[in-house]
Amino acid sequence: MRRIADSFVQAFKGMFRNGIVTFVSIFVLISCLVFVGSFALISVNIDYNLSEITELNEIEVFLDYDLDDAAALDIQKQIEALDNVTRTEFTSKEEGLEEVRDKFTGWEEVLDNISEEENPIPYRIRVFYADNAEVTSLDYDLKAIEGVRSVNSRFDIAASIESLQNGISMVFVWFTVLCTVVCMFVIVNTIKLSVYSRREEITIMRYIGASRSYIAAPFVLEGAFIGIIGAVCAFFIEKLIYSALMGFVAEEMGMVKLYAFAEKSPMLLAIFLGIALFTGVVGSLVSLGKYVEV
Amino acid sequence: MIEFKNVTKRYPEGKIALDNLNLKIEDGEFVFIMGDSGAGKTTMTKLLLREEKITSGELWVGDVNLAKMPASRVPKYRRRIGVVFQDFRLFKKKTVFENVAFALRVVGGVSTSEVKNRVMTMLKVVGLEDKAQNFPAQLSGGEQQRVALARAIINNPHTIIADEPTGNLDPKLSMEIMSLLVQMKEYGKTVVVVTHEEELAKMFHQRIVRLRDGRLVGDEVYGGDVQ
Repeated sequence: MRRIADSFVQAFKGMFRNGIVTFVSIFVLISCLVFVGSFALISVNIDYNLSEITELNEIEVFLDYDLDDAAALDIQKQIEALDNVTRTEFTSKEEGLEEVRDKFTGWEEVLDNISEEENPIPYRIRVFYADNAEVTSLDYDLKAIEGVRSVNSRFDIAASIESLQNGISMVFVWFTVLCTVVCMFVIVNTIKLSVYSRREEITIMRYIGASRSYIAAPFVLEGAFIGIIGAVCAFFIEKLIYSALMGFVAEEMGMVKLYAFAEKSPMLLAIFLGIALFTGVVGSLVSLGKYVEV
Repeated sequence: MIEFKNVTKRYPEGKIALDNLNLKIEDGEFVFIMGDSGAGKTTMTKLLLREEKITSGELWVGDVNLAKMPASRVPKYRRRIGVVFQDFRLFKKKTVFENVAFALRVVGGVSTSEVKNRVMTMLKVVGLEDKAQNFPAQLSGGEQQRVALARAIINNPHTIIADEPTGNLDPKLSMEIMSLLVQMKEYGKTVVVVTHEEELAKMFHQRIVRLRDGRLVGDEVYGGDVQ
């Protein structure tokens, strides 16, 4: 217990021994974490808005001309039974013709004279689906149904949205790795200074028989403290920035939807603490290097 | 018992510091290791502290062969060896009491009251019980070396290694420190003192081992050869 307490005390002293360098480390760590956090929040919100768009995605299925209502409704049932289909909307030939009449004003004379038998508009079923990734398979299944004349899938939109989402995820991962490396570099140098200023003590400890963990513990804790302080400060700064952004979006960009900060704050705190503790602890171990070798 | 069996130490740059050294030091013996600069004295100390590893041969300290001891066991081994350096190597920001107590705390498993009792006992042995709350900077060189000695013996080591313990002291203080080290022999400790002060060593009528270019060139008790 005493040893643990000693390590904590030494870790705190270490932070103040090289106060300016510690301050700079925490500042750089906060900056990197705020960048990572901002990007994470931007990513999840873009994803959120893109998901809204993809939810509107649908496939239009046109049926053969010679079908009657009963056959068309039977095909609708077959479609609804397919995987990935969330719901369907049926448009009869008459309703289709009505839509054309509404759209093409000024052609009433021609359109009004089309009889039921002459109606060239096919039955149409709008198919709404859940998973964009499975849209190819759904398209194949729809075309295989007897009585289906054509299928109008919006692969291009789905593919574009998916590649955009993947691209954002990729950039986020690279950005996080880059910031982690920067944080690690700064913390390594801070702890190196701390180790250097205590090198004589470390040598004495080694001769007395102090174990590797006994010598390393205060420095690892010092790195962890820097990390935790950086993570907590970054979290609150991020909260302020996000609140300001939400206010701006609400006023100027009504169409854009944003998650409430509270919804994403556990994720953000986990990312911050994860990066900060990882860089703090691993950075300290790297800095100690040969100093703790027996 | 300490035993060097055909020990050779070659440093990475090629320099041979110890060349096929054979030397046996019995338990409770007091030995001066003497020699010129570069003779291999410091290397011997480093090997005994397992700061360096031997290149070939065997080095036994008690029942431990240092050549084969894994790094993970070195800290535990060092707790059984007391070491004293020329430059004292005390924690400047700790008091005399804290410096000595630190060696106990590193080992762990000792209560606060026991730490206090044992530290004060050791300070009494080296004659510094009234300086427990002083900092190293407030002490003379001789007193600082006595603190280092108290720290070296507080864990009741079987062997004490002193590397030029009087190098920074005047003749009177050197006599004091050397007397204390000889006193350790009376407590049953094996004491190895590396020194270049021939006249001082001769005053104590103990075994003197001489090295030159990493080889053993003399082994005698001042006034008669070792058996």
